Amino acid sequence: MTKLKKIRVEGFRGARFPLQLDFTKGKRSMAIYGDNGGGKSTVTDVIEWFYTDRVGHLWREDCKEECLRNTHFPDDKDPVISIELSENTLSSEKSLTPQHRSKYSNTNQDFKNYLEQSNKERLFFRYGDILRFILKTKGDKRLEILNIIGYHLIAEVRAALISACNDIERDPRLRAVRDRLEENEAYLLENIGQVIATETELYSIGNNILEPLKLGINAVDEESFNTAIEATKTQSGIEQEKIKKSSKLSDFETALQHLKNEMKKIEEFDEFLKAYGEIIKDKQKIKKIDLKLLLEKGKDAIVDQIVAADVCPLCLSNIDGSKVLKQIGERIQELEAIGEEVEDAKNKKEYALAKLRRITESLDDVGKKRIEDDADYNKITELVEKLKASIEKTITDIETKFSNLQVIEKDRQIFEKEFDAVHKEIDKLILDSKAKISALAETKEQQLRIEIFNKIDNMKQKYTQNKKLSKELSVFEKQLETLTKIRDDFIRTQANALQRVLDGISGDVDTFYRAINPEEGVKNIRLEVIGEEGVEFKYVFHGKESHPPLKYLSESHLNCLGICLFLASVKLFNKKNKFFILDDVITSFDKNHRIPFLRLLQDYFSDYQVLLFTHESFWYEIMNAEMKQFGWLFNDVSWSIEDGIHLKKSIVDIKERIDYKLNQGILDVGNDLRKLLEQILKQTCFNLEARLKFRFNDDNEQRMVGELLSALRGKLNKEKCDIIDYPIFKRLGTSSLVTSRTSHDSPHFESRGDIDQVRKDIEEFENLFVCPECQKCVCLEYADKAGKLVKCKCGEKKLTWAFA
Amino acid sequence: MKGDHALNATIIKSGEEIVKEFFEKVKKDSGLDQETREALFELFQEGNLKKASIKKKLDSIRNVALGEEDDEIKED
Repeated sequence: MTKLKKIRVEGFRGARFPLQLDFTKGKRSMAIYGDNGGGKSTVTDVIEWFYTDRVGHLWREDCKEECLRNTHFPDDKDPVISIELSENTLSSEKSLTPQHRSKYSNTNQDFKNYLEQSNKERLFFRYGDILRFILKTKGDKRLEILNIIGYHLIAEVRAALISACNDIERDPRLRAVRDRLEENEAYLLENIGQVIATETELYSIGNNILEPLKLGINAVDEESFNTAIEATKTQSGIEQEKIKKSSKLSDFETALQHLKNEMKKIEEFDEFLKAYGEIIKDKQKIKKIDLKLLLEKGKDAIVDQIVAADVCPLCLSNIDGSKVLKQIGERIQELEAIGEEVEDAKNKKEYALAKLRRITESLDDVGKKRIEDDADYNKITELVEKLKASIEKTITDIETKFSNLQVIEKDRQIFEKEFDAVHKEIDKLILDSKAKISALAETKEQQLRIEIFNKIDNMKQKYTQNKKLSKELSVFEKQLETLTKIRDDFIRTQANALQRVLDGISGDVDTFYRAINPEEGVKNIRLEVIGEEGVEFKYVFHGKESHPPLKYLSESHLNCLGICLFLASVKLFNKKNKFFILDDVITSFDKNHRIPFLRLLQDYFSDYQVLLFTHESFWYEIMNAEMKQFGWLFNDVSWSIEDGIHLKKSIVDIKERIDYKLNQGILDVGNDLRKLLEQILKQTCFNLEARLKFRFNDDNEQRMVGELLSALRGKLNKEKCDIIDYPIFKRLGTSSLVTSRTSHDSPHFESRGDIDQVRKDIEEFENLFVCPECQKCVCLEYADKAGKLVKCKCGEKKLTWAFA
Repeated sequence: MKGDHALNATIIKSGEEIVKEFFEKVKKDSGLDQETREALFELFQEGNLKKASIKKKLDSIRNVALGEEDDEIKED
């Protein structure tokens, strides 16, 4: 497993001059303290860019490689990042050329494989990332999780299968094939009395139809069937020209009938108008879709705290960040629903237009098949042209009006009115054609032959057409059936795979969350696949199954949930790297959740190298008190325009800080001395159970030195402890540390001598209670009741104790 | 250190592995239309499993089938 040994940066982001983080040979964890804008995030940017070739929060704002170079860095030098790892062969430099191209110094294959693997791992977590996930819709959460766990290929395949399936299901060609088949079958039923499914049926029915003509031909195959049809013509004694004309009239009649059928079915147009009518009822609503992008950007700006926490990035007024984010999330969901309505109407528009185009094709067919040089067909020619022009205008109109959200006046009634004239003419012409065909015969026998010829010829045409259409339909249906099954199987497979990952993560999220928030009524937190589209956190809130997290959890708890999800992902996905960065993510944690968080890191991640950044000094001191004993390193980072980012070893230990200041000639240590005494008194009062007046919450922490000292003296008196008469109690009692006017005023010292004296007093006081051997304060936990003593952990330091 | 529990035992397959296994299975599933499953497998292997490619491929299968039908009709 790989850990960080050294990070060196120069000319990158805030680091104008060389900046080095040295984790020592022990590859130790590190806490970094710095004000906002002090340069902490440059370290995260370094890691992110080194491993992923991008910096998410910058790229989202369209600031790319051009923003990586420090603006004061000399033009003739390339910014360079150097990452030294526990596995030397994987260490590398990465530089950025003036053309914004990046280059690694390590070119070996192992390093390339390492980078590829690292890209799948969770190496850093910024404040902005926490709520970004929690506030996503369940569909977006699924996509985000798929991305986090490297399942983007699954997401892509799933989306491709679903949309291909939908498209084929609604393919206008498929509808046209079905309609045409139905129409031909209806024709066969009406004229032949049955649908013809096979050649054998065709020939058998053909023989029956031909029977009255006594041709002496028994159609048993294609050849004999064609011979029989031919014979109806040749043996009829009718001029071939007339037979040809009769055939043309019959074809024309079929084209008219087809057009009539096409005009009857315009449900697609109705469906489109209905869906479109709904969406344009409130045009403003549709226009609001454009706001989605703005809202998403706004959400990112608030989450990333581009301006500051709880400040609106647009008007800079103060806002309740979590409330506004919740509202934005709801508005985005509303807009997504509107977007889906529009998309549905758009699809329906495409089907409606395809239908109208099919009608124009039928109109064209009628035009082509009409009998030329016959004035009887002038009217239909005129009507067909008129209707075609009208439909083409409608198609253009629909496209234009749809994009401008204008009302489409044309509806079924207008269409039916236009169709009506054509319908009437068609009905007339169908009768007319039949009459014309009859008129071609001079005798009844000829009439019968013409009728039989047309009937059998049409039957053959319809059968041949249907055979082809059936084949097309069968291929379509087989494809659709197979694709649907593959889609459904794939959705099941991906849902199962995803749920396996979620189950893996959920157990840890729940454990981590409850370790930080014990006894708070939230249990059994888990991520579950919801329907086909989503993933959501579910949990039991005071015995009641609940979701989503926003329903009951506060911002602090939501943040905690986000961090737990990150940590669980680290456990699950980091196969190669044993380090991760938490960049200022604890900011919104309640104070009483911070120490449990540090203990969680120690309990579950002690074999990881953790880089924990913060801008809060109070939190940094807690980290120091809790984690220094486990070998953590502490550094302060600051930034100035002249020096760029500057790193120095942190002086969070109060005694170290006082020494540091005094060595620099700084006498402003009054507050540090007061804090030091306060810390010693708090620990001693706690260990010896000195009673103080009850106070609520944080007020309990804000105890004055005098108050603590007085409580301790009271307890020592009560227990007849022999140190109570030591003069140091008196000296401290009158010291300015205790007598400062208000509880936390900083006492001021004029000279180094005064300071040294106060330090000496504090040390003497501390030595009364703290063992020089084990460095621990005496504690009632180590009481010797028989010997009437309280001791330190090792037993070396003892105080007499009456156990009153 | 706590926490080395369920997760270490969880075998998580990569997205690529899952998709590959799935399409290997599809290719062999005789209950599915042969041409369609082979077409999808081919697209997966080419790394081209996109909506447009699926539609194009299935269109072309239909056209070929109809072309064959035409040929049969002509031959007949």
